[in-house]
Amino acid sequence: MLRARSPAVLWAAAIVAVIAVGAVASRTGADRPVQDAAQVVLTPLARAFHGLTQPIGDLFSGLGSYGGLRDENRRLRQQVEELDARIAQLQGEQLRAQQMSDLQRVEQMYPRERFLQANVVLRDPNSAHDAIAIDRGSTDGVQVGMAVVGRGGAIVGTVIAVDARLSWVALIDDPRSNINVAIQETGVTGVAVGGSDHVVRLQFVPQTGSIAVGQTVVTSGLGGMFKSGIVVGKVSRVEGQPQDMFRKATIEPAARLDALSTVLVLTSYVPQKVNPP
Amino acid sequence: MSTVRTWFWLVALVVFATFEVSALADVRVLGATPDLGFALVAVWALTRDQRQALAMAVPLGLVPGLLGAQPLGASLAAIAPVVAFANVRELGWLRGEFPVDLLVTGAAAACYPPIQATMWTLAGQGAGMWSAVAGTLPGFVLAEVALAALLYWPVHAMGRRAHAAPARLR
Repeated sequence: MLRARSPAVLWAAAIVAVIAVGAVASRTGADRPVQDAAQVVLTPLARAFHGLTQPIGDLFSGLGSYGGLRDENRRLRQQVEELDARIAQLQGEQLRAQQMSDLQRVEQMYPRERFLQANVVLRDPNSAHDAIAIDRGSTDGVQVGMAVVGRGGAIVGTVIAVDARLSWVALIDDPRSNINVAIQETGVTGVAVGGSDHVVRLQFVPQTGSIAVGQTVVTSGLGGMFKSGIVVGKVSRVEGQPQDMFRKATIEPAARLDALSTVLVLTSYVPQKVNPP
Repeated sequence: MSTVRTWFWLVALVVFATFEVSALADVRVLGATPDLGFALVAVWALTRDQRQALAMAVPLGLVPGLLGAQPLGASLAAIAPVVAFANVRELGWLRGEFPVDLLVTGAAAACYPPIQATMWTLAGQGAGMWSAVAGTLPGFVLAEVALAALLYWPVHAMGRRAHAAPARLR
């Protein structure tokens, strides 16, 4: 047992004194100089220890709160899913707004015509063809032969088959597509024909006709299948030899045929089958 | 103990205490922050030398205050009594070493939070301390007993010869 006047008792008394002085110094703020001096040495050491052990502490802290982290993870995953869905919805709305804006612009380009907006719902898997299915059919007034234009107002194809609520459109680079066209700058006429290589070629241009790269190709209206003046594309290359009966050229379509999501069916112009006399 | 050894131990204990304040301050056991220095002093006092344990308590108890983590001397006041608690082992009606030592450590640990809260109150910074004491006391006692159990055999092995005739405060 502790005995008075032993060194240990004196030690204990000294400690009690230190405690008492410490308490008073803390209360009065007299300990600040001592703390400031000690912190000059100890703070860098403490910072180093903290930096060294923080990753370990974080690991144990993570292990300790595993259940909470799992719940948080599940909650955050759900939140991410909801936000992804929301983003997709907003992107869809933005796209629809853009499409409406495009539709208005096309309607302004052709103020006398009526258009029916349609969404592309399928693409012909047959690699030889280039056709799309749209979500409009005979119940919407779509007929075989109607011109279909892209969001920029350029022609993209022709309706080739109509069901009640679905129509197939052969794009202008489909081998089944034949459109009577004219060079806008010169009035020279020809036929824009799709190919199995999905290149649109201008054919049956008279040798006397002038064709040059960069000229604009539009529908001519000949044959009664298309309204005249709809942009098809631009001449990208002139082909053929002087001795050929007709001149040829390659057309770069104005519409992006590989990225169609919405198209417009020109419903105000009903194709007329013109039979030769 | 030579002067060099004394200084070595002093520096080592200051570094240890700094490590505890900086690295272990975020550790929580049932809401309580364990005091590794307390467990070390307790085991040292119980298995080795009470005078050395009391000397160890000074740097271990003062450094948290010097770093501004708490009022100066608050930890010292809370740690020092465990040295006196070590005398309980001398009572004839307590048998066994390890379980008794853990029991004594637990009893001393139960005094730690109230003493510290008293020190905070005396320093004029006791607002909210007493309400925290009740909530953290079981966790603190449990953590200190666990730490003492972990430190027991290494400290015991370090001073096996000393333990044969442990120096007691008399």
